[in-house]
Amino acid sequence: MEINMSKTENVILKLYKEGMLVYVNKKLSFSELRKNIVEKFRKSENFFKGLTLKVGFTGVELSENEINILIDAISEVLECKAVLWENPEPIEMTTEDKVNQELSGEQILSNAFKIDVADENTKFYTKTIRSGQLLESDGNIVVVGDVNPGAELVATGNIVVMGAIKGTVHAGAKGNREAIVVALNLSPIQLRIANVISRSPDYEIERGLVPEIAYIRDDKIFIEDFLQKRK
Amino acid sequence: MSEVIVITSGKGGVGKTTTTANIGVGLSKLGKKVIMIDTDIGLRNLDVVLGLENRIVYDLVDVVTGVCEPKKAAIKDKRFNGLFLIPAAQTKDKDAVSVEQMKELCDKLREDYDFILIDCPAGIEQGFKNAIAGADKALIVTTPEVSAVRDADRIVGLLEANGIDDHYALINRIRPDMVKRGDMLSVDDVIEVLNIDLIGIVPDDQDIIVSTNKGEPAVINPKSLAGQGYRNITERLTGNNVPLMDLDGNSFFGRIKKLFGKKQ
Repeated sequence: MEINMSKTENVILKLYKEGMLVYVNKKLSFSELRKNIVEKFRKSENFFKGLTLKVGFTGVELSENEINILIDAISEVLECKAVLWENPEPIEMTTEDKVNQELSGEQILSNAFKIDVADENTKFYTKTIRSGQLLESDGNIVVVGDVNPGAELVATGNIVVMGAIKGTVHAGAKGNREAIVVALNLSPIQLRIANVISRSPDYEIERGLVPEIAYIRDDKIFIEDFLQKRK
Repeated sequence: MSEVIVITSGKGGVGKTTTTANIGVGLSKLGKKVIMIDTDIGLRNLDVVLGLENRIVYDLVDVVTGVCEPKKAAIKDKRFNGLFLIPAAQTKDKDAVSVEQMKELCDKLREDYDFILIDCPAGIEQGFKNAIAGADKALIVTTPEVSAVRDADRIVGLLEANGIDDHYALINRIRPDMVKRGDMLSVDDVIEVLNIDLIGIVPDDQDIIVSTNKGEPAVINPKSLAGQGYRNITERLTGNNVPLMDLDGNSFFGRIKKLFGKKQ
């Protein structure tokens, strides 16, 4: 099995049809190895939540006890059921396999919406929210319509708008930094998540009308093409 | 069947009073019996625009407080058959009238008139609440400016909160040349934000200033473009389907469209 290893990476994860393979690059002490593996898996936490994942190890000799410790640690980080993949013989996944592996709608939702906010109350509005109107929710807000300039949404959870956001929105208003804002046309005057504030640029940006998602990363609000992210 | 229509906007100076006067005159020209009520107490204008200032004896406050009957206070415009005006009081303020009093007055007037037009003051305070109290329908006047559209949007929200869902946008002072250059919001831009039906458009027209100062509404001037816009709106208010004004009238395609009576 050939794999390009950058010199800086101690541990590399690769997903195959049968499961996840952990390539160990360097000779590390067990505690260091464990720390490295947990950190790697932490990056994909939520993605495997609730699923069963086969995990194999290569490039390192491990005792049964050590394997058990690692498997337990991975299960805990991913909130999934990790099992040992013995004598891994990985088969490269084709694009078709990846498509077949697509998650069910419910799984996608539970991955996208962190559990602690997904469980909150949700308020639904099926009208255009107009200038001067303020909607507050101790939970999530879903609007089927537009949020016009001068209107304001404040939710302690997520905000989803099946239309355009042109007003001001504040998700995670009580400090939940995991909260997200999704809209078919995300052009808010101001967008706040928890205590992070971003505002629309002073110049016009030419872009197509694509659904976008806003979230916090590194203390900044990131806005991404929602469809690209899902791919 | 009579209808109470409030003409409102939120923002000041977009042409509520001019619109009320023109629609009132336009409807009376179509043979309807129309009464206009100026609810802008303290800043009365509608009588001036109509050239009826010198005939005021009683006003809206007198009517709602029972000093006189509505019929007695209503000034008949002698130039147009079936057009009446209840002017605002100039020396009182907006609190002199209550929401209940306005509702009562509107219901009383329904018996005698086909259309009751209410000229709403700018703003969203007591005067606005009074003006919309008895209304069935609302015309929201806006100009193609971001601030006016923002206020109009606020008004739509307030109207809906007060149970008036029969509302239409009227876009005033459109300048086709500026729209074409991209310097002005287009009709579509405005409607996209407001997301309500359009009752009509009125192009920017210098004649309006002249006619307003003279007390002769533009709607009776067959040469005035704005007058044409208002005539179309009055037609639509009486239930006739007329195509949206073709602001591009000089182009070849514009004329072809006109020829075939293309709608909207």
